[in-house]
Amino acid sequence: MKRWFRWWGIAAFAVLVVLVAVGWLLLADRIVKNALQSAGTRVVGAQVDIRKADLSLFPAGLTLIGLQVTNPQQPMQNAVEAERIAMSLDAPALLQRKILIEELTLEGVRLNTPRKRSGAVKTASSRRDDAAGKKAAPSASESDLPGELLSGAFIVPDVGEILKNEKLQTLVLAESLRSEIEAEKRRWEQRLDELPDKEKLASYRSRIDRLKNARKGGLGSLLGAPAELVAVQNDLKRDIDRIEASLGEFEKQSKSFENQLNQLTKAPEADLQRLTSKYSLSPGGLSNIGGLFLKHRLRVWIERAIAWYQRLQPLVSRPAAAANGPRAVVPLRGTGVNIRFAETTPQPDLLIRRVRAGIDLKQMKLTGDVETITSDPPLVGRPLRFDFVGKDAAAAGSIRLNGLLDSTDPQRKLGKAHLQMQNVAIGPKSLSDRPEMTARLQSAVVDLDLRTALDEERIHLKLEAGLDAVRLSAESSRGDSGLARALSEALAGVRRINASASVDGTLLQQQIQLTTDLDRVLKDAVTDLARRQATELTQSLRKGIRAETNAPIKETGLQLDRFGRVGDELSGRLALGDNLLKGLL
Amino acid sequence: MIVQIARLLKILNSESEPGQISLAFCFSMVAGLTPALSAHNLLVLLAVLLLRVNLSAFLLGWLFFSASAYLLDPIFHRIGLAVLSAAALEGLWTYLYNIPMVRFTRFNNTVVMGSLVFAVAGFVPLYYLSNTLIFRYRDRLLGWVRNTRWMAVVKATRVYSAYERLAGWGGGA
Repeated sequence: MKRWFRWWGIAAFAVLVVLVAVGWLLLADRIVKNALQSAGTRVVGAQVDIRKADLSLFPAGLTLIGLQVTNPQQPMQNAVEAERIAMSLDAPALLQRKILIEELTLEGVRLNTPRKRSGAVKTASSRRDDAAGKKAAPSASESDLPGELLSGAFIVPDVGEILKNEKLQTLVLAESLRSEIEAEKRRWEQRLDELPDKEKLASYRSRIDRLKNARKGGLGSLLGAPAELVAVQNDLKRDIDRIEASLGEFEKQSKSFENQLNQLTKAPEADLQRLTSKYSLSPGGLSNIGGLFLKHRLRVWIERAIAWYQRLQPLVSRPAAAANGPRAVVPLRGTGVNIRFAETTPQPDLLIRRVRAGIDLKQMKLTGDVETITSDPPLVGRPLRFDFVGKDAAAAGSIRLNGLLDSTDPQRKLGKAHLQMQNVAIGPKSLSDRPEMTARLQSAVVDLDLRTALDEERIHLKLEAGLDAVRLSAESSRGDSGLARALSEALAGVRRINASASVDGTLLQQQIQLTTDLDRVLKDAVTDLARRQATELTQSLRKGIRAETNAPIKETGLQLDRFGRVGDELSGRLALGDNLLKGLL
Repeated sequence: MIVQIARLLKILNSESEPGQISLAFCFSMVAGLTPALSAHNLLVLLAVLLLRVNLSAFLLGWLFFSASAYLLDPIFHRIGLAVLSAAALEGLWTYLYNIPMVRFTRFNNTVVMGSLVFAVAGFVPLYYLSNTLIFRYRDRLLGWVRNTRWMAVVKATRVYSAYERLAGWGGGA
C-alpha cells in the first residue's frame, strides 16, 4: 500500500480544504457583495452599490446595508436607495442554484436621492457608439419640449435675420421673368431680321414707280404692265400678312409679360403674408401651451416607467419554453450552456414570496407588500401583486398604489395598476428647463386617480388630476419679450389646475391625449400681446421686403419696355406696307 | 530560506518514476481542462495528494492544460451538448439533476460535461503516451541535457546544491 499511497496527502488535502473554506468564509461577504453589485449594474445599466453584505449560513440568510441604485438617465441621482435589506434563504435550494426567499424586508427606502459620484457605466454598445461618434436618440426629456416649440414666441424675430434666411418669392419671380424677357427679345430680334424690312418695302416702291413710268412708254409696255402690277401687289400683300401675323404673336407675348409683371408687383404682399404667418405667433397657436408643458412631463414619466419595466422584466420572465425534455438556457455568467432537465418537484430559479417595504417619501411614509416575484410565473401560478398605502403626518393626505402583473399564462401578459392620491402636497417639480422659458411647479395639493392596464405590449392609461393651492413660476432668460412676461405672470396667477389624460399605444410608442384648463388661462393672458407682436412684425417685414424687391421689379419693368421696341418696329413696317398697298389700289 | 525551497522541490519531485510523472500529467489534464471551480476537481486534488504522483509534473501540466482549455472551450461545448442531449442518457441526467448535491457540481453545463468527458477519455491514452515519451527522453536526451550550458548554470545555484544535499538524505529523486 505504501508503494501507492502517501498518507500525509490526506492531511495535506484536509488542510487545503480547511484553508479554502476559511478563506471563503472570510471573503464570502465581499464575494456576494461584488457579485450582486455587478449583476445589478448589468441589469439596471447604471452603477449599483452596496455598502456591506452579510451572509449567514446557519440559518441561511443575507443582509445588505446601504444599497444604491443609480438612475441610468441621471447618473448623479439614485433611483432607489435602501438602508437595509434582509432576507432568509432556502439553503437546500441554493445547492440546486435556486434562490427561494420566503420574506424579504426593505427598510429605509428613499427615491431620487443625490449621489456623491456619477453612477454612469460604459456598456459595450455605448462604447461602440462613442467610437463611431453616434449620438443616442433623444428621449422625451430632450425633445418634444414646449420650450422648443415655443421658442419663437419668446424672442422678438429680427427682420434682417428672417430676410437673410428666407428666399423671397418676389425675387425668384423677377429673376425668372427677366430671363424670359431677355430670351424672347433675342428671339424676336432674330425674327425681325427674317421679316421684310424697310429696305425691302422700299424696293416695292421702286417696282411700282417703274411700272407707272412704263404706262407712259409705248404700246408694248402698256400690254405687260397689268400682270406685273398684280405680281407686285401679291408679293406686297404676302409680306404684309407675315408682318401682321408676327405683330399679333408679339402682342400676345407682350400681353403675357405684362400680366406676369403685374403679378410680380403683387408678389411682395404674398411674401409678407407667408413670412408673417411663419414668424409671428397667432393667438390660436397658444391654445395648447399648458397642455404642452404637462404633456411633456407626462411623457417623461411614462418613458421612465416603461424603461424600468423593460429593465426588470427579464428577471421575472420565464426562460425559453420547453414543455418536455431538456432545454438549453444561457447562464448569466461563465461559458457553456446549462441544460435543464425535468424536475420531480419543479421550482423556479428565483422566487420571493413576499417583500415588505417601507418607502420614505418627503411628505409621508409608504408601506406595503409585493407578493410573488418569480422568474417563472407559469410554474408558480400566481401573479405578482403589490399594494402600498401611505398617510402624511396630519393624516390629511393619503396615497394608495396597488396592482398586479400576471404572467402566469406564457402566451399573454397582463398587468394593471391603480394610483390614488388625495390631498397630497407635492414639492418643486420642473415643467420646463429650456432656456427659452423655465417653468416650475413650486407646490400644490394633488388629488389624482391614475389607472393603467397592460396587455402584452399594449398599454392604456387614464389619468384624472386636480391640483389645488398651486404655486407656479416661470421665467424667460432669452429676450425679455412681453409675451414671455405675460406667460410668467399668468402662470404665477394660477391657483388651480384640472387635467385629464389618456394614453394608448405600445411600449415603444404611445399617443397622449391631454386636456387642461391651464390652456385657457394662458391663452387669455397672451392673446392681445400676440396680436400686437404680429402687427409690429408685419410692418417691419413689409418695409424690409420692399427694400429688397423694389429695384428688381423696376428693372424687370424697364426690360419689358425694351422688349416693347420690337413691337414698335413691327408696327412701323406694317404701316409702311399698308401705305404702299393703298397706293397700288 | 534556500533550504525551505529545496525541501519543497524535493517533495514536489519525490515521485519521479515515469508512471508517477505520467499519472500526474493525466490528473493535471482533468483539473486543467475542466473549469477550475468544478466540484470534481476536489476529488482530483485528493487523488493527486494521496497517490504517489509527481507534484511538480502535476502543477506544470495543470498550467499547460488550463491555458489550452480556453482554446478548446468551443469543442468542449459541442461534446457536452451532444452528451447531455443524448436521448439514451436523458433518464440518467434527469435522475442526477434531481439530486441537489449532484446538480451543485454543474454537471449539466455543456463545458463542464464536455471537458470532463474529453479529459476522462484521454486519461489512459495520455498515461501511456507520457510514459513512452519519458522513457525515450531519459534514454536519448537526458545525457545531452545534463551537459548543456544552461544545466551547468542551474547546477551552480545554491538552491540546487541544497536540493542535491536533501535529495541525498531522502535517497530519492
